[in-house]
Amino acid sequence: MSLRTLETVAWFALYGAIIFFLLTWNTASPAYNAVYVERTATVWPADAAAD
Amino acid sequence: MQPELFPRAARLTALALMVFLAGFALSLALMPDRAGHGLANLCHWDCGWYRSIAEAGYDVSPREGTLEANFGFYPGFPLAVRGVMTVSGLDFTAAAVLLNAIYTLLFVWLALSSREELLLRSDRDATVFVLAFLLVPLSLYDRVPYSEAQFNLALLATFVAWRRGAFVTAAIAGVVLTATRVTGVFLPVALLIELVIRERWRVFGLLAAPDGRFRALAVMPLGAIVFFVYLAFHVGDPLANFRVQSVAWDHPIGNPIDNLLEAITFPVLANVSGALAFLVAGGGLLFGIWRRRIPLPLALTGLGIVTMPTVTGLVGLPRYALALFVVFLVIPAVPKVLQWPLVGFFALLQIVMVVLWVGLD
Repeated sequence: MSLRTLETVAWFALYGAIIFFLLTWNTASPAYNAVYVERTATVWPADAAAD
Repeated sequence: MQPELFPRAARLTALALMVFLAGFALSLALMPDRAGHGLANLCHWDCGWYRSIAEAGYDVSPREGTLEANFGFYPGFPLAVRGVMTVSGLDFTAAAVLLNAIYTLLFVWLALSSREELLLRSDRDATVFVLAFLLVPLSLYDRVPYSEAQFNLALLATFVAWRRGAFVTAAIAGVVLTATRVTGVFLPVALLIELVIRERWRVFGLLAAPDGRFRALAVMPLGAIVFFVYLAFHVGDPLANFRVQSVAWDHPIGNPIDNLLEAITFPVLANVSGALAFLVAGGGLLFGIWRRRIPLPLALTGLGIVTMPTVTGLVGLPRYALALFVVFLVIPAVPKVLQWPLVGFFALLQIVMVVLWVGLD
């Protein structure tokens, strides 16, 4: 495999890694996730709804 | 860019700015209580979000009591304005208006220098196209502190550089394009489609030995991707931009046909104007492809940009569709006798639009 072919492989690997990262990474707070990801709360911050 | 075309570009830009200023002066004459606010009269709606990014950076979390956050907006434009603010000492609105005027001049100069790439058949066609685009009412968004002018310039620069084989320039302009608004990604996709069609007999050869074209296309989306990675570490969610748009501004992903039909079933101004803008811009782009008035990659990009908002609701569609230069490449195909009256009519409507804009609460 030539270096130039390796470049193509590297681009595909980079974009594959980016898509995986975008779809799986989540370190946001539970309150954020309740409102924006799971949609189980409709008030921000989510804790305020319970008060 | 051709230096000899600069004076003509400057005159056309000055004309567009004078029409805008006429609308602004009329606004202040009609609403004298607003005169004391100066340029702040031009900053409404999304402008406030861009200002918050330029002045204080991105929010870490949504704002209390609302579902909104400024990370619903892309970084390309507020970053550039921040640069002008730092260099000039101007406030946000003045720096953004100045930057957009410079973008407009560069856009006109590049467009006049790129007749062949834009399929414009004469100098007259180029002038008609430029003036129609600059004076159309919704081109107001190219003057006020919105990201439209930067998006249009980056879109044109990316395409022209690509056509001229300047792939490094195309890649850099493409990064700016996708950092300004994620729908800029439609251009590298459209260029890829065109490349695959043209090189269909040697696609595997191209993959085995990628050249500058392949590399430029791979680099262009990185402007948006870097922003998403930033959000992953800043907010904790790389998709925070889409999520806050969906939840706070009620732009959930839906059926585009249902959304368009809302113009009939729920005929409020936003729905009707959105559907009309979709039909006018979409029809113009298809006509441009048919009559070879719009280069295919630009037309496909335009169709993507115009269609995308129908998936997430029609609000904002007139701006996305009719402040986009691509659509106006078909104006030179209008019968010549109608071209200048049409441009004049656009100018009058833009003055009205500026008055309405300044009058917003």
